[in-house]
Amino acid sequence: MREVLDRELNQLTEETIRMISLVREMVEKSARALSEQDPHLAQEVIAQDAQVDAMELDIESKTIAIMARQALVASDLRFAFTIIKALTDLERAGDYAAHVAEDVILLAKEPPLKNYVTLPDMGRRLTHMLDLVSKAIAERDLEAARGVFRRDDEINALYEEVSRELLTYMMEDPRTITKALALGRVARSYERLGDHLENISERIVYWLTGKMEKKPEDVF
Amino acid sequence: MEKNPVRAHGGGAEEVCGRPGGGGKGGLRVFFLDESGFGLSLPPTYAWAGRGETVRVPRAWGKAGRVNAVAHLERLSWGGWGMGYTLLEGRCGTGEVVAYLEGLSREGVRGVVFLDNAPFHRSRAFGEAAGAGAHGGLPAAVQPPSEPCGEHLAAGEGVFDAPAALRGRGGAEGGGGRCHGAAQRTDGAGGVAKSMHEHLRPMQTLLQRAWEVAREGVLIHEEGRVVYLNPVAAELLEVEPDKVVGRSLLLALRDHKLEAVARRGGEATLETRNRTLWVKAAPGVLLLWDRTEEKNRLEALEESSRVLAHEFRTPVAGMLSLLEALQGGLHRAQAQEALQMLYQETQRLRRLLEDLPLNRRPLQNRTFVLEELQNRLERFLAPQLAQKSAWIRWQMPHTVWANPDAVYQALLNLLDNAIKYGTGSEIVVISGQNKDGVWLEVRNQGQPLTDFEHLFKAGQRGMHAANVRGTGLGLALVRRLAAGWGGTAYGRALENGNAFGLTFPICSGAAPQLSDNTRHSIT
Repeated sequence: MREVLDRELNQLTEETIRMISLVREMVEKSARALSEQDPHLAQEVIAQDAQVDAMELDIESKTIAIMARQALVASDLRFAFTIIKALTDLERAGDYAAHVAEDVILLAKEPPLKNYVTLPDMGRRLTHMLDLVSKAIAERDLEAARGVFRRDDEINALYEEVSRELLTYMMEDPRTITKALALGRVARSYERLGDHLENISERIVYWLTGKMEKKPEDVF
Repeated sequence: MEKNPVRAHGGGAEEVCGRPGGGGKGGLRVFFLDESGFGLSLPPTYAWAGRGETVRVPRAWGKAGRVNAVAHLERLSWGGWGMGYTLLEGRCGTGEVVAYLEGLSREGVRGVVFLDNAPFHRSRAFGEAAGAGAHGGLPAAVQPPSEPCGEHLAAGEGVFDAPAALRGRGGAEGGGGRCHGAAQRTDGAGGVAKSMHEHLRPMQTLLQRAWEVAREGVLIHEEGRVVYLNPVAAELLEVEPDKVVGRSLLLALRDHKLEAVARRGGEATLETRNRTLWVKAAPGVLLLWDRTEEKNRLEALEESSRVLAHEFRTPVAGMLSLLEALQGGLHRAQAQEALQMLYQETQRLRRLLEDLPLNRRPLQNRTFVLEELQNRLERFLAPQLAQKSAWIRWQMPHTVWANPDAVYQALLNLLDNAIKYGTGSEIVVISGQNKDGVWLEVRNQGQPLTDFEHLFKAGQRGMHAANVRGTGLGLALVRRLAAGWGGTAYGRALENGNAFGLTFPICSGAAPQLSDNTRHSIT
């Protein structure tokens, strides 16, 4: 009986890792599309979003089936809930990568406002965060999960930096407003994406320790 | 053989389970070979299973109510086991076994085959047919009775059961196919597996040692599970071997594209874990090379190419304008002047080429008056100035010690920027002196900028550059050129414009001096 449950939970883990990997690919491509001003690559990202949505539904139904069939307790139950919650966050993360891609398509129609450095850097950092989430789930690695919290702080700091810079551009030259607004949306999407990865990590910590850990500023 | 043809040799094995008989080509290998039969008393569902396949044994086969098979077990180069076999229609005798060996040989397999010392293998007829080289195929040797597994259970006897037995020992050495049909042979199978393991231990140990110190990552997998990964693979994939060995491939690779390559085979370059990995996959093996540094070097090379293109673009554009003017017809004196300028520019480009790479300190420093550059610059930029209805006011009477070509190039870049991005008509080029040496500034009108430092980084552009074609390299190059004569480049905001300047330090070559009494200071 236990063997069957282990096998099913392992399959669940694998499918979740696959979904994370797909979202990671979308984020990586969105950052590359932005720095290379490549609308075709951005189009690929948008197309992949449907795959992520389908995966969410599939894994969710499988998780519910396992929960219904097996009397899950303790860490198995926490794991199943972690997956259910993570799926929603991952699906949203995929949406944000697609939003970035949509803005890239708009931005690529005109000369760039500047050489984009910070925004693609945010994208690269997010892919690393996704690597950490993946490692945390695959290897039950608590430190990897906590590492995501720290990196989300960096993403937030970069978001502030980009926002300030864009505001300066808009104040100094109104001709830049359209582009700056699009870039602001890209920064916002990446910032929100980071928040969703942080949510997943909080759930992983709960799964592994049985305790919810939140950053001090997130506790009200 | 004609009486009793081999029904499916090699490739035929794929129909049921296991690897095609014989495995790969080349290299000296060790095989264990045995024969077996299946009684038709087996239940209808009795099947051979391998790699997730289940195929019923066709009951219609065989004379005398049996299905016979010959199979061999092969130690693969990466340490796992491979099994090849053939099903026989009818009896299994010396002829069939020898035909099987010849079949392996025809496939290009080279090695030594061990057979157990059952009476059948020790018979004279078999010895003549299957003795070393006598049959023109693989040399076969009968194991001595002193084998630890006993007279009738030598290593070769376990062909059908050994892979399953090995898998039961932890999975790391498992492989090949398995055959439930040989259940009657399971007695002593563990011992058989152990015996084979002992036989091949030295080679396996050597291979493993080599992998442990290999510079590339090596990951071995079987049936979708990781059986081994070396330290480099663990580092590149950022995994802990203890946590992934025995688990699914995806959990170790954590990348669906990497997993696809591992399963499908072939080569690919992938971005994962903030690295650029070049991967090559063969059945059961994934090799990984870190190409991050190589990619970074390539990017640096591309940047150098962009720098070079930028260095040449402005002078070439100027030369083109002069050539077009010549083509359009000029008075003799003007044509002479244009030719003279073209000659000078060509000479300068030649010196620029000689000075490559660009980050090398220029060796052509000499003392010269900045005013020397004025006429060349003004004439060279005349078309651009005319297009923008702009002009340059020159006030650079100082003498400096530097490479005139480098100063010319730096000024050309600064003036090019001033013409492109300035909003007023007048551009001022002015030099001055302070306690540190001479400075030279290009001042233009326009909205004062706030952050100058980031503009001197390669690839950065100012906000007014948003709608103008450019690379964002010009100021980075100016700073690099200035570093060549020991100076620097800077920018500062003016009341209604911006100034970009160069400094020339006082050095042993020659003290900076004024050609007249004009003095300025940076305020």
